[in-house]
Amino acid sequence: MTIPLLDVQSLCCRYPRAPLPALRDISFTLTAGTMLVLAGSSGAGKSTCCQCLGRVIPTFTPADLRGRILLAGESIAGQQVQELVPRVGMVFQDFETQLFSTRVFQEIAFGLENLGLPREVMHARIQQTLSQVGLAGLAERDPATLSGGQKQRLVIAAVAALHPLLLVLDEPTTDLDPAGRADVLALTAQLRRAGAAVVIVDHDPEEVAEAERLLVLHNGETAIDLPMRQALQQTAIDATLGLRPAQIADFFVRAGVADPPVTIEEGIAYLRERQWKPARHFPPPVPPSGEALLEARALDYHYPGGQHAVRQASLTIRQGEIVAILGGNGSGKTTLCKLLCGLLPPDEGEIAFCGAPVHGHEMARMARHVGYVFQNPDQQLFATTVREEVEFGPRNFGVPAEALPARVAQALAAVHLQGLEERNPFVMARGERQRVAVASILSAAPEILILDEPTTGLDYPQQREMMAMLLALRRAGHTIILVTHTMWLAAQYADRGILMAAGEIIADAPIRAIFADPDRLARAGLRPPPITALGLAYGCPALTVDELLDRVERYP
Amino acid sequence: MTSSTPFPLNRLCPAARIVLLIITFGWMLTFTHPLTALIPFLIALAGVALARGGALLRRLAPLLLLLMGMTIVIWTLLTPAGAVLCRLGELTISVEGLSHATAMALRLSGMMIAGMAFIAATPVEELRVGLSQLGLPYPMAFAIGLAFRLVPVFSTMLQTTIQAQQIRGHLLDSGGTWHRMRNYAPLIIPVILLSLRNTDRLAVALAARGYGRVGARTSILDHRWQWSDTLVIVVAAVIGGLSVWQGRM
Repeated sequence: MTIPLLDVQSLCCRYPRAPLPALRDISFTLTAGTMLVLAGSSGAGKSTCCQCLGRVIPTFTPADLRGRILLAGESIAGQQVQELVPRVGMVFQDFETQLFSTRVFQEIAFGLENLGLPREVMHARIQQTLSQVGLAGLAERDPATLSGGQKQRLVIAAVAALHPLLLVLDEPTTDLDPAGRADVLALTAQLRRAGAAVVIVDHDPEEVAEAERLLVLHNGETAIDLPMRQALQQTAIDATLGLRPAQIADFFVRAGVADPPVTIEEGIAYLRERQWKPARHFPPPVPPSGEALLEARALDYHYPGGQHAVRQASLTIRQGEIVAILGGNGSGKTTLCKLLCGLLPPDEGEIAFCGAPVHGHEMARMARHVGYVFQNPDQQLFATTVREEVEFGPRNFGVPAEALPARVAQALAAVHLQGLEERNPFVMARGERQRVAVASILSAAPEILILDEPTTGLDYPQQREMMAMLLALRRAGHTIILVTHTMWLAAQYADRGILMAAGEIIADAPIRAIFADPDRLARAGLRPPPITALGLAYGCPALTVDELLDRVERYP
Repeated sequence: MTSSTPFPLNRLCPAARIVLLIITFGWMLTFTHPLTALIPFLIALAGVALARGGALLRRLAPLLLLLMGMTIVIWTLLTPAGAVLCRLGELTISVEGLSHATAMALRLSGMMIAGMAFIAATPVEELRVGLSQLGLPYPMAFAIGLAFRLVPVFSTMLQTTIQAQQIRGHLLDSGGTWHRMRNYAPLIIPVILLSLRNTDRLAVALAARGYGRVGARTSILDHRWQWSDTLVIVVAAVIGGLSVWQGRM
C-alpha cells in the first residue's frame, strides 16, 4: 500500500476563549499529484484547516491543536512555518501582501535565497518557473505593474519554485477575473503533473471541477468528503451545505436525471443523446426604459503616470435599473465608477445628472446623488458604533440632527441590521461589515448606489442575502450599479451589462445580449456562467437554471 | 535576468553607494556660500542622470521647488544681518541673509536630489545587500528594505480611505484647529487597522517563503566590492575632506 502524501487524522482546533472548536475531528488523505478542494460557508473552518496544514496555527495564531498531520509519512507537529519550507508551500488570497520585491525574478529568488541555494540553481529554477507560469519575458518587471492574475501567478510561482510536496492555496482566485482564475487553475494542474499535491479553498467547487476530491466543512465538521463528480451532484441536492449548487448538476437533478452530468461537455452529450429539444422562440431582450438619471459622454481619464485608464466612455444610467459593469482585472471598471460619482475628475468628457451638466467643482456634490460602496468595508469603517458610522454621511451633508435617527433607522432596516445600532462594527462578521458600509452610504439617500464587488469574501448564502437586499433597494426606488466579475450573479440579477476591456466600453446591452456573445466576453477576459454556456452550446440561451428548465422540452 | 542596470551609478556595489551618499551629505553640509554649495548640488543632479532617475526627479520637482522657495524666504527673513537690500515694514532683507538662504536651499535640495539618485540606483533588494555588507544584521537590513517597499502599498491604502470618506461628504479642512485634527480620525483609524491586519499577513507570508529559517542564506545578486568602488569612495572622501579643510581655512 502506498503512503499518502498527506494524512490528516482526527484534526481538532480550538481558538483561545472560543465557545466552540473551529475544527472537529477532520480526517482526510491526499496522494501525490492530486487536488482536494476545501469548501463551505464562512466560518466553516476552511482557512483554519489550511493554517493547520502549514503550521500557521499554532506558530502565529495560538490555538489548542489536536490530532495528527503526517506529510510523506512524517509528523509535522512541533515545527515552525519556515521549517516546513520547502515541503509545504502556502499561498493566500491577498496577493499584495505576498509580494516583497521590486522585480519579478527577485520575488521568485526570495524563497530560494532563504533555502540557501547556490546562485546557478536559483537562476535555473527561476527560468523554469517563469516559463511554467507564463511570465517568461517579465523577469525584470516590477511586480506592482502586473495585472491581478499575473500577480497571483507570480506568488504561486514563487512558492512553486521551492518545489513543495504539498501546495496549500487559501482562496487564491477570489480577487481574480475568470481569465486570471483559469490561469491559476491551469498552473495548479501543471504543478500536479510535476508531482505536487494541492489543497485549494474555493467557494465555488464547480469552477474547480478538475480536482479529484471535494471536502465540504460545516461548523468545523466534515459535511461531505467525496470524489468531485459525486460531490458536485451532492451540492445540487443538499442546500444545507452553504454552497452554490453546481449549475450543470442542478439543472439535470431538477430535470429528474438520476446520475446527472456535472460538466458542460457531459451536459451537451446528454442533451444530444436524449434529444431534448430547445424551445424555438425566446422572449426578446427588454430594452431599457425609465428616465435617464446619469449620463456620461466621452469620458477620458489617465492615471497620474499617464496610462490611459478610461477611454471615450459614454453611457446612460436609468431610474430603477440594476446595471452590471463587467470586465477583467484592470479593465477600468472601478475608475469609470469613480468618475461617475465625482471621486475622480475626468480629463475629458461630460457628465450630466437628471439632464443638468455637472462641471468641475460641482463634481464633489455628485456624492449626494451617487453613493459608492468600496469593495473592502474596512477601508471606510472607523466609528465605534454602527449608529455613529451610519450617521457620518448625512451629518457631513448637513442633514439636521433631529432627522438623523430616522435616516439611521431607515438605512439599517434596508440592510436588515435593525437593533445593532450600538454594536462595534469591528467585531462584526465580514458580511455584516459589508452591510454596515452599504447602510452608511444609503443613509445619505443617494438616488444611485454603486457597489464595487459587493460579494467578494461572502459565501453563497451571504451573497444571496446581499443581492436580495439590492433587489429590495431597487423596489424602494434606488438605481443600482454593480461592479463584478462574478458571472452568475450578473446573469441572475442585472438588467443591463456594460462590458469593459482596456478602459473602453466594448458593449452596453441588456444582460441577455451580453451573455449571448461568449467571444466578446472572452475579449474582456470573461466567460459565461456554466448554465449559460450549456444553453448557448445547445442553441437555447438561458441566464439561470430555472430559465433553461423552462426552455428545454424534456424527455424521460 | 540581470542583477543591475548598466547605468554608471548602478554599477557600484550597494555598500559603496550607501557610503557615497553619506559622504555626499557630509560634503554638502560644509558649504555655506551659494557658489560653493552649487558645486555639490550640480554633482547631485548629475548623479540623478547617472542613476536613470529623471522620472523621479520630474515627479518630485514641484516639491523640490517649494522646498527651495520656502527655505530662501524663511532664511532670508531670519538672517537680517549685513548690508540691507530692502525693508518690507518690520522685515529686513540683507545681502548676507539672501546669500545664506540660497546656500541653505541648495544644501537641502542637493541632499534631496542625492537621495533621489540613491533611490533610483538602488532597488530595495540591493539596499538590503548594501546594509548587510556594511555589517547591519540581515533581519534589520531586511526590515529597512521592506519598509521602503511598503510605502506605495500604504499610500494606495490611504488614498482609497480618503476617497471612501470623501464620498460620504467628509472634508478634512473644515472647522477650527481641534475640529481639523478630529477630521483625520476617519482616515487614520481604518488605515491603522488595515495596516495591522496586513502586517500580520505579511509576517505569515514571509515565513511561508522560508524567511527566518535556520541556516545560511544566499543571494541571487552578485555585488562584491570591487576596486572601482574603492576608487570612487577614496576620490569622494578626498574631495569631501579637502572641502572641509578649505571651509576651516
